[in-house]
Amino acid sequence: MILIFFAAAALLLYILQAAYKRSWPKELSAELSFDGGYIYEDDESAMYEVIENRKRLPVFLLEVGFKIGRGISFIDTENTNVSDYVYKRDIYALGGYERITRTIRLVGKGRGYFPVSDVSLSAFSLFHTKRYLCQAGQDAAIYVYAKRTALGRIVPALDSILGEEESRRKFLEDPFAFSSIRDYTISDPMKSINWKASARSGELMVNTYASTMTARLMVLLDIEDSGIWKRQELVEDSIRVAATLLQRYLAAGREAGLAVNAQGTEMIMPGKGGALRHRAERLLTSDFEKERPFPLQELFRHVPEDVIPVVISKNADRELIFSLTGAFGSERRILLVVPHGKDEKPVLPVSGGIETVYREVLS
Amino acid sequence: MEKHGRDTKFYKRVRFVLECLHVLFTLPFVLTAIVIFAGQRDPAVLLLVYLSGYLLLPAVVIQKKVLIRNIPLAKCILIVLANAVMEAAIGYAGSFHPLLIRYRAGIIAALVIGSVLTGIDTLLARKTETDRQEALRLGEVDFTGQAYVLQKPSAVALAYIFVFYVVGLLARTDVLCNIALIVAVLYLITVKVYDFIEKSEEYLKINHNTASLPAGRILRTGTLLLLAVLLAIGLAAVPAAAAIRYRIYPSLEIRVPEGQAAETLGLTAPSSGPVMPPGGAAMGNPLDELVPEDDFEWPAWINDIVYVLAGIILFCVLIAVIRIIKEVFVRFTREYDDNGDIVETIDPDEKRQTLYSAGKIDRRSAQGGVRYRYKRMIRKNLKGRPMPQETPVEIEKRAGIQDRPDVIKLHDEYELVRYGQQV
Repeated sequence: MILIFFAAAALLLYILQAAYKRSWPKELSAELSFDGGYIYEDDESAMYEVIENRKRLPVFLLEVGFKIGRGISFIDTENTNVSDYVYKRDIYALGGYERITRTIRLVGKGRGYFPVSDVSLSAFSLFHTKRYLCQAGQDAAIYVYAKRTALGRIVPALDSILGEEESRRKFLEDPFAFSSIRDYTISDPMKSINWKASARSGELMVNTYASTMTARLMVLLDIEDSGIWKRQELVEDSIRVAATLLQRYLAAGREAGLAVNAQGTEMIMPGKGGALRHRAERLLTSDFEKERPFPLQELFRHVPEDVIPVVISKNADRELIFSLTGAFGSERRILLVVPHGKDEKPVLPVSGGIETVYREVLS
Repeated sequence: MEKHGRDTKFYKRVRFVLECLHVLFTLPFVLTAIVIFAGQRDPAVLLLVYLSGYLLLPAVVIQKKVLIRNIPLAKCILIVLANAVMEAAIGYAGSFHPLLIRYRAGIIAALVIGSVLTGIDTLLARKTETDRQEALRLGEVDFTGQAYVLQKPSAVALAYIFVFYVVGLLARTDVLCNIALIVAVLYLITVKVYDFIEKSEEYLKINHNTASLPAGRILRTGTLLLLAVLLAIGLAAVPAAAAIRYRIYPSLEIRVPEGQAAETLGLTAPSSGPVMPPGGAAMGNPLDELVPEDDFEWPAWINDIVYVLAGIILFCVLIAVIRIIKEVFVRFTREYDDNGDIVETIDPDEKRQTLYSAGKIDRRSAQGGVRYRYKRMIRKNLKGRPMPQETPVEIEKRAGIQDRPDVIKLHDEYELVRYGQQV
């Protein structure tokens, strides 16, 4: 009779284990989301893990794991493992029909785009004899924008150039005169749409006017770091300067654009509005070390004539000065920002309309 | 582990109780088997003899509580000897019943030996633990050490109980068989509960540095599932209990060839009367020789005191069990947030929350399928995420795929679905 008991107990326990193995992942979901779509470098934010168990069966011990790029650092480091990625593992226990929401504080350590494409769910049997695994797709991501930086002498230099340009225009143009037709952007009012031009081209086109007299600028960013001695901190500073400048002048209502000498990156022509600013910020989160750079001079031909070029290059040399003069002419006002290391200020020739601002970057 | 507080302390107490029960469930069988081998078959006597083995409880509790601490060996030996003396006294007082008097010496000897064995086992286990800590300190991660049988419940002891069940079958004593069956059920429950607590504590110990570790929830949720396991064990006992009446006792009678008188060797299980050797003279119970002739009768008031004491002990045990069960269930129903997590109950009729960023699409529907394929295509080709205000044309242009024939086709389908609600 005792053997009947042993056999019945073994059978029932086996059935229970098999039933748990089959049932635990059913109606179980894990969703990750970030608090907001972006943060700046060194800013704190939060990530939410929402685990739902929509069935009666409790899930005894659940480990939720995911990986994310190393630019994100979690404030509670106990559950994280850092190698090529940051691997995080959180532990839960859910009763039937329960939802647990956990807030995880994080810091943006480096600029970039950080998606989480899936999580691994790992459950244990009651006596820890078995471990069961499954994956759940995710669609969470966060951008870490370049850090804002002090612009120092760049702002007065650029303001001076912009002021001169606007004054010059005042004498040469009728502020109410029709200026040009260009592609529609989301920040353009409906009333400025030129319907005839739109019908002809098949895309929405808008009129632009010179009435505001506001000068436009375009940031040309050089990310090339091809020397033997890598100076990545100078490239990072260049990126931060570009981001800060764009944010400042777009917020002031100016039209600004951005071009980077990296293969495969889009060129943002001067425009206005928050949407353009975010496009530029996201462009600046790219991992430029992986992109093949091309010569900065190839960007010059894309700069419209009525736009003030703001060139940011740590590789500025005599050749670049000559290229700028050759591409834009000696009368064109240009701002050249040259980040350099301590006691490494380059000596550049003075040329016509080029205003050079040297910027010492301390490592 | 201290930071997880009351919950883990509660389960530690339960574990201690189970470790004590493990000794009590197993040792009394030996005493009962000895009495059976001595020729006793009276069910009442066998049951009382088995229960008298539970008088080992005080020594077990004291030794498991005290000897694991960092006390010098000499003191430990003194404690073991003192416990042995205490058990002898308890055995003497406890075997007052007329049916047990003749076995008093055996009961006292069994209790003393059981107490000493438990003490030695506990000391050896303590030494193993000390050696393990030292090995860990020296970086020897492979050290496992000796396992001591009286330390903790283990499924292996079920084989030990099975052996005594077989002894009961061979001796044709249904009392021992029934005790073995009941103890097997209770012991398996003990093993499963202990296993759960031990493994959970081990897991919590390994992960004690993990942030937001919900130790209390893990133990409570696990206990819910454990109740299902215990229920299954209880259910498994039902067919075994129902089949008791059909129990078959094996016969060891040996038949000699025809022409010779059938001989029965003394191995056949005798009736509860005295053993009859070849030749017919009654041998009597050998243990009777150890019991002196005694006309002394216990005063009646001793009986009354013992009954009162037994009633008090039973009452306390019942209260303790009720309190444990109540505490477990109170912990389940409490609303709380654990380690800063927000815990909510989902109404079964509540629709699943779909976060915008999760972007869940029902792929099974025609519309959902088109949207899912379009989304996948964009995610594959676009660096970064689409801006919320971007149109499909703008997104495709940014991804550089606007001229591909497959993209153009999918784009048209997507626009019909997304903006025209058509399939």
